[in-house]
Amino acid sequence: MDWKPRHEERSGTLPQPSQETVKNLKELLKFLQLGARLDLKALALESLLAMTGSEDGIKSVLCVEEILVSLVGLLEDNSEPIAKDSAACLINLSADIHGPTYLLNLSKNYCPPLQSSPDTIVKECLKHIFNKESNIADECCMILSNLSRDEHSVGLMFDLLKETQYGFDDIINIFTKVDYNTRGAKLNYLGPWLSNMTQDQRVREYILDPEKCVIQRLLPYTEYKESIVRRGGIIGTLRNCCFEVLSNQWLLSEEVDILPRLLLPLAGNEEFDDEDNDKLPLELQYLPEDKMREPDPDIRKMLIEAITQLCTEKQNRKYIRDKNAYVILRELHTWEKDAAVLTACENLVDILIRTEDEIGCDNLKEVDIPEDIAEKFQKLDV
Amino acid sequence: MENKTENNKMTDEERLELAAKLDKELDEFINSLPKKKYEDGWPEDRWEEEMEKHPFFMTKTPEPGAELHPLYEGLQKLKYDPEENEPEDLATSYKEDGNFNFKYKNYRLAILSYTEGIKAKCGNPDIEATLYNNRSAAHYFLGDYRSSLKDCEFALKMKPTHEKALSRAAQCCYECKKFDLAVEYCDKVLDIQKTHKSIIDLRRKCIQSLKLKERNDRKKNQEEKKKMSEEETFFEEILRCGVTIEGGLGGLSLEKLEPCFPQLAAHRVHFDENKHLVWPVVFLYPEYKIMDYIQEFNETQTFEEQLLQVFECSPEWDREKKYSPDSLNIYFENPKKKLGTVKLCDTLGMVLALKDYVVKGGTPSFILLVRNSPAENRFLENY
Repeated sequence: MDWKPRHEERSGTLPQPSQETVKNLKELLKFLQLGARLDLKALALESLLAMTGSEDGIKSVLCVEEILVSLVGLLEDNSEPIAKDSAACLINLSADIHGPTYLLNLSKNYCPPLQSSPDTIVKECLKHIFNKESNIADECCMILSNLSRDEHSVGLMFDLLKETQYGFDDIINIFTKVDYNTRGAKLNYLGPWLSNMTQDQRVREYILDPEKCVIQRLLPYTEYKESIVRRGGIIGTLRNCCFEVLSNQWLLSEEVDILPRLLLPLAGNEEFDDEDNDKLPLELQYLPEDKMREPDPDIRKMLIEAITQLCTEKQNRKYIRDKNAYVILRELHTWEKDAAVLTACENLVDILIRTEDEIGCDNLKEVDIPEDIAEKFQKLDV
Repeated sequence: MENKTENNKMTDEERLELAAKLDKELDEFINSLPKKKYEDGWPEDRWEEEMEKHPFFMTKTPEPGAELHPLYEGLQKLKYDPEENEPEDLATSYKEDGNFNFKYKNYRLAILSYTEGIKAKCGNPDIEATLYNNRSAAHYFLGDYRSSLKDCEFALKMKPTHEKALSRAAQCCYECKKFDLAVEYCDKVLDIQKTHKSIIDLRRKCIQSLKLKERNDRKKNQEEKKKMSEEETFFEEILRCGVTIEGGLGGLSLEKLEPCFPQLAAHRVHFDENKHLVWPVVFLYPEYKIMDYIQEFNETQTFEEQLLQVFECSPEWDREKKYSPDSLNIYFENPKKKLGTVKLCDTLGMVLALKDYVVKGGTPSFILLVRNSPAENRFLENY
């Protein structure tokens, strides 16, 4: 039962597009600079945006580095529609499986004429995200989120982030500040970005630094009704952090008190008797009739997986049992329809209902599973 | 220049001569003064008392209202007179006074000083913030957390990042059980100083109290709801027995079944173990203007059974010994202000199920009169 933080396989390089396509794309270059005529710039961007609507188009555009650099440069365009369109192109490009590799590795060789060479895409995006009056802050959050989907890109982004003046502290600050952006951007996509970034152990260590108050500031968002993007991102982050076994005890301690935050979204409006209620964490006792469960099955699954990770060590399993997590999962199980969530729920209940004598070891991750059995399990889980 | 000094230079001899001359003149002057005893000084026997009065040497502050030494008054005026001082100096003086009193735990005096300082309206936000903050501290030590919190708020208006004021505000909110607000203040302190140990602890305490409060609210809510639904079912069952209850159509509430006689207050209608209703009942005897309170009248019991119990031994007021179950007529008043009659063999349940019997105030009541007695005749005539 060894889960790893989620990541996708890294992509290879793309086949070079036809000479004709490259030539056409390069034709556009002279309109894709800050000083170009507005109407022509808008037209050129429109055609690019149309191209990035298809997978083939994306592949061709990604191969012409000059276009990518120009698009990054145009994020700073004074005209809002231009900046928005170039951001939209970059969202599409970064969403492609090959996007991150190309966009994060842009060389400094090309510079659009009559302007200074733009910063890295990471820094340009952060500039907008930190600018309270930016109109494309949300778009930039999406670009960052898209660019950080696989583990390799996360590593690249981590390094690029270190080159900027923006630290994780600052990003967490603006992320958790209500209405930081005055133009209505919510920065919700920093949630999935953070979740992606926690594939990297260095980021997990930062979030789990007991000297800093990071994870404590993220916890309230597990019940954040306004945005499933933010909520899901943060729950993903928590789940990834729960893989750090050494921090598990701290996460469960009074200092962080993560368990009620993970259990509450899984709880419905079922009534328990006084005895069961008293054993539950305070936040879960006597929930009202209108209490709703987390509506998204993927998020429910992540919550369960996070608790399962916390069950790795004996003392923590004992704590979670004592907090009566079982009754919440029991009710969830009778209510749940989604097969994947049901499986996750059963896995966790299996651990909780067994006594320590039956389990017979402290750390569940240190259990040796014979290869043939492991294979069988894998098939079952699929 | 040099020449001049040389010219003015006296020889030692000349100097001595001059000194002697001056001494002589002084002696002459003193001797020429009219001989008079020195009387302006402090008398030798009372010098300690006088010294104590002198503001430079006094060991105690003067009692309020006591006569002040003129020098003291003068000094006070120098220090505190608004005409002699700039408002800022004045405010500072009062602040120092306050601090002095504060140091010696004279919190009430300190509050008075700070208040005077605030009244000076010096306009300097630093001084004003300090005055408010210090006064808040004095209030805090006196246990007056509301006033303390108010002063913190004033101090923070002048200086929004005044750390001590923020911390104390958090403490006060905690003491006043305003946990939400306390957490906000804690967060503001932590924004300035991330590792403020006592504030981190306080914040945790607040969160815990908040959780407990929310949990208790939820529990109370759930209990209330449960009680309400229980009441509803109870009410429905009563209605199903055919009982008409006054006001029973407009909303169901057990309040309407609460007996209105204090003697029966603890005996609201309830079910016995066999699911039979047990009512509190009142018997009225108009002849003597007397009532009997029957605490438990089971709906399966007949009136005869109940009356036998009541008149087991003749009551004191029945001087003529006329009252016994079979000598009585039993009446009740229906909603049309007419009288209905009850037979001795009727059970309470049967009577209450009658269409024109309406239970008022949660307590069925019956009128009892001796059959064919003058009292009965009078009563029926007047009805």
